[in-house]
Amino acid sequence: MKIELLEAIEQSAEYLNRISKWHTTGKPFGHIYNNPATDYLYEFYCYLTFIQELSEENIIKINVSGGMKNNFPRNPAPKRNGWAKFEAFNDEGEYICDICAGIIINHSQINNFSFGADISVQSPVIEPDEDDVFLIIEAKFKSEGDSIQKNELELLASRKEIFNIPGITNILNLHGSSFEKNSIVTNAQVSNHHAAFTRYKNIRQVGYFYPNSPRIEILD
Amino acid sequence: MKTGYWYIRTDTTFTEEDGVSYIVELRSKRIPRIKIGDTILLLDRELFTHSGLVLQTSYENDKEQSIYEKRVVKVGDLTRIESPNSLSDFAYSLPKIYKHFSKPYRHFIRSYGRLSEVEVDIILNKKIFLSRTACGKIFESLHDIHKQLFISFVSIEHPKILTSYPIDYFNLFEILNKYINSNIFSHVNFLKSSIRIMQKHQWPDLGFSEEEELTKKKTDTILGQFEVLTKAEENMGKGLGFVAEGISQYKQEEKFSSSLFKDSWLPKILNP
Repeated sequence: MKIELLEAIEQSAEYLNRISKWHTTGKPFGHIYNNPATDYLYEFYCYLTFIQELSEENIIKINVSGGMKNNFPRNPAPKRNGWAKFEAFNDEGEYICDICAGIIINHSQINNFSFGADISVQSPVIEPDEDDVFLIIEAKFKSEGDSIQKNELELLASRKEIFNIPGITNILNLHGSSFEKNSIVTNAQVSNHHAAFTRYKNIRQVGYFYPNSPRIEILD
Repeated sequence: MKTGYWYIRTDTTFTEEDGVSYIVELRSKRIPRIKIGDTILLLDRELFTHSGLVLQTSYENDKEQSIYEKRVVKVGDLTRIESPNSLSDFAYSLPKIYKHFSKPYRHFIRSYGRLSEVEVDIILNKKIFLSRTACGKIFESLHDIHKQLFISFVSIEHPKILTSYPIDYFNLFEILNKYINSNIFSHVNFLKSSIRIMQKHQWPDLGFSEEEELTKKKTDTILGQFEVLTKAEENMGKGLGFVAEGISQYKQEEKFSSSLFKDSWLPKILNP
């Protein structure tokens, strides 16, 4: 039994040694405790799931021809760099909008005031500002048992207003996707306590959003 | 005189073996303190191979300490030491190993050296401090940033562990297991699901970068990481759940082990 246990310990250690870092850069793999800026993999998972949902009703194609080729930004970055993105087309095959990950949105009227949208549906422009964004989704990886916080909802609501983000679009069919409005999504729980605020601001909370989740929760 | 306990390395000394005993040549200016009747563990590189008794020494009557010469020890009455018998197996169980846990041979660098009676008992009777071993080896295997964050996680979420003595390694392992599950394994699932979506739609490999990284052509890709993961999973063993379950069965037995270690995260003076 002790030999078996020692072997299991050794193998787990070897396994973790290999998977707790990214293969090329050697950066730590996983959630960096107390540092939400590093949850790009969860954001990416939400992003691809959203794209997959959109693909049911829309024509979506990937574009990796920009300067950053097949890469998405690890941290929010300017769109002009040419990051990988998905593009939506209408039935006539016309290019209608971009679905981006980790892109900085500027404000044309307010200097030095911008934010990085985890996921955004926007016009095909190079420098997006408040006139170009249709929908944003904020992804929050949280520990089990945690829930969406009041200040996170307030932040989403204020971005929606300041950056004039309608959360609806008639150029892209959002019907049937988990994110039919400006949303905040988490692997943990939604905040039922702030259901009224969520409704009042016409935003959406999506909870228990993770692979093979038995009960994705939507509150809006 | 009390019986002495020693290890002697057979890989760095000149030894002759005749099936029932080992004749070991120690080169030293000092007359070795190893004497007839002492217990010897023979160490071949990383493995304890035999235990035995000193039957004869060549230097009983030597007086002169300054002459550099061969000192011969004959070890007989041999018993083979079965697995687990590597230094790595005992890295977190022998008080002698206090620093180089991942390279425990550094504490056995000399051609021979003293062991305590307790340490010989630990090695021969496999009294491995399993909960400490599990915590130590799993912790050491993590990325440096995860190590730092785990300590910060413990100090914020489970501060009592930091100020209690001796350290409750069973509890600590549970916390470590929880940390790894929620912060690393969850992301393994995000990666796998992302791969499934990418493959379904036949998208090219996608990756992550930063502006300044692109010039170095260093990017982490989903597929690249998935390949590393798949390869690592071929030999992932029975997993942390099995380890947690396994070590908990030795809780009683390990009370002895924890009495040997003065482990505390903080200097004693800072403990309440």
